[in-house]
Amino acid sequence: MVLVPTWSEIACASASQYDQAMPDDAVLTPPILSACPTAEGWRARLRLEFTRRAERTVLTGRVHQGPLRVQKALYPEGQAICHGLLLHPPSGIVGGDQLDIDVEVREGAHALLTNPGATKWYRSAGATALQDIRLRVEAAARLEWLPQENIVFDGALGQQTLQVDLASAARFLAFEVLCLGRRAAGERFTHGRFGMQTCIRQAGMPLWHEWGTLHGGSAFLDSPVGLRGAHTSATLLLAGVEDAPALAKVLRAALPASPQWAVTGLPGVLVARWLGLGYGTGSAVGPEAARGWFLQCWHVLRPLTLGAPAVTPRIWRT
Amino acid sequence: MTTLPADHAPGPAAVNPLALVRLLQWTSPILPVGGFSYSQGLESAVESGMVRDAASAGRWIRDVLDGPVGGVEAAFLARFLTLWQDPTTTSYASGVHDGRASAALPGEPEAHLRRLDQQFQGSRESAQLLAETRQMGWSLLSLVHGLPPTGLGLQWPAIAHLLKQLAERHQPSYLLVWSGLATACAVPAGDAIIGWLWSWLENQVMAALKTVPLGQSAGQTLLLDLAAGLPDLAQQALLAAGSAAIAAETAAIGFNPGWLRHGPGNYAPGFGLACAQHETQYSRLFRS
Repeated sequence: MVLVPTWSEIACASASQYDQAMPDDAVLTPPILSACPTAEGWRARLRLEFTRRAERTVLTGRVHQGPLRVQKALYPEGQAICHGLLLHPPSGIVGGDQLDIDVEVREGAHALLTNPGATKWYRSAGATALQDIRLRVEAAARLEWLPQENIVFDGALGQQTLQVDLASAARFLAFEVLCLGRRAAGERFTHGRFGMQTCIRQAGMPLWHEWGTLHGGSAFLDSPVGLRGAHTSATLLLAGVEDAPALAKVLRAALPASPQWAVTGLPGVLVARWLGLGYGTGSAVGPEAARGWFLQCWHVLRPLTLGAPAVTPRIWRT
Repeated sequence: MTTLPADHAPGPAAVNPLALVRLLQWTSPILPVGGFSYSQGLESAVESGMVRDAASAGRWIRDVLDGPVGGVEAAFLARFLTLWQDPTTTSYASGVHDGRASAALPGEPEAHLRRLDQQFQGSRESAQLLAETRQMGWSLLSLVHGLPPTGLGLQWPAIAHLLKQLAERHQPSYLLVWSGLATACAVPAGDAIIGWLWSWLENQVMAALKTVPLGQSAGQTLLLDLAAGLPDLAQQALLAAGSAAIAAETAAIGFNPGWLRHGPGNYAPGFGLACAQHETQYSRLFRS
């Protein structure tokens, strides 16, 4: 393993000028990984840093390697919150790809990250694709991690890791959607493997960790304990909150009760789950329904915990 | 009378018959720690109609056993038992995360156990499941501190001292306290895990008898069927937690360590949904 210099040493110091007009991304030099597709697949890396400057959150560091970019820092809701759109031009992840995303949100800054479309995990000929996401949120900073859905194609071999490190008084919101197979094409997840791991800790203390591997065609996909036959599942995590049980109560009171979702408040983290269960006529079960549910939750939780009303990212509407 | 077949012949006597007796006591349903008052999502699954007869109860219990309980809790139990055996063996010296040295000091058994317990508690899927393990841990600790220490084995004073230290800064889980007690009574790790899983299984079947409801004979049939898998689960838990290399990796990282990643994982959205929905269930007998 090559020792990688920290990105702040390479590119961040001079990157604050990008606050205004944004030139091309800085590219890591010397190249650490091949940026070309190899027999093993694409290797891509993106490192971002958000810093608070007066009342503004500024994208002060932006380093990429291979086909991963953030196109532009956007301010659709004022200067305090910086939105970033993560682009992965190949538009899908194939076996052997390795994507590393590394984000730091400095003290007092507030960033929101999403992407322009679903992340597709294609069928693999044998190699496993990896997406490794590491997020660090400093004191009094906020990060909202709102990628669009992961679609795991039949026969895909993938592993996604999300590791989040919060300083004290930092807050983190994540919404993740998983779709097994291309539902529109009538595809089921009959073979392949998708591993997931999500860990959040605050000031070194584990708040939440969940991990597991879904095997295509396994009984777990239909088990009442597992996915109950649902094609789409979703999880909302809100970490770094002082009174998650009280927030869970507020959320329950605000949204219509349904067998599709539930919320619980653990020490320092609120966890809400949604499953695309067709429990009656007309119940929506796909990723759009999951997003609709999330927007309802966000509408309640964001003003209470992140200091802003919920505004649907424009890219979600396209 | 015909002779017993070879695999039914009495094996060698247990190494320590007293340890077996103690294990039976710590897994008994009359151990006053309140285990009977928890269903771990089963009552919710009955309420929603997913569990409605012996077959669906059996499937629910088996799938929880194969994942969150037999895969994850049993592996944590195996790690706890290893740590209690010698709480100073796990070296924190190599515990470095993202280039930063761990805050824990080397050779502090109390810190090792506490950190493992924090990892375990961070893997609880719902508020009720967390409250359950903390309440039972507290109850067991209170109970054993009032029992005559001479019956609790030679190692008990040292273990009791560590438990006391732990409880000052941390709300210990039932797994943490129970594994300390099993270690003090010299229960071999494999037996302890089987005993622990048995007591979980018995409690689940009892909850099914009350809530589905099922008849006594159906309950015993479920036990006969599901308990047959316990030795394998215990073996897997020991393997997952046993490797020294993996133990070193485990030491200081707060994130999900490698020894857990090899198991089935605690990802079980249907289980999590049922446990969380139980919090608002209108009519309920159980506390989880």
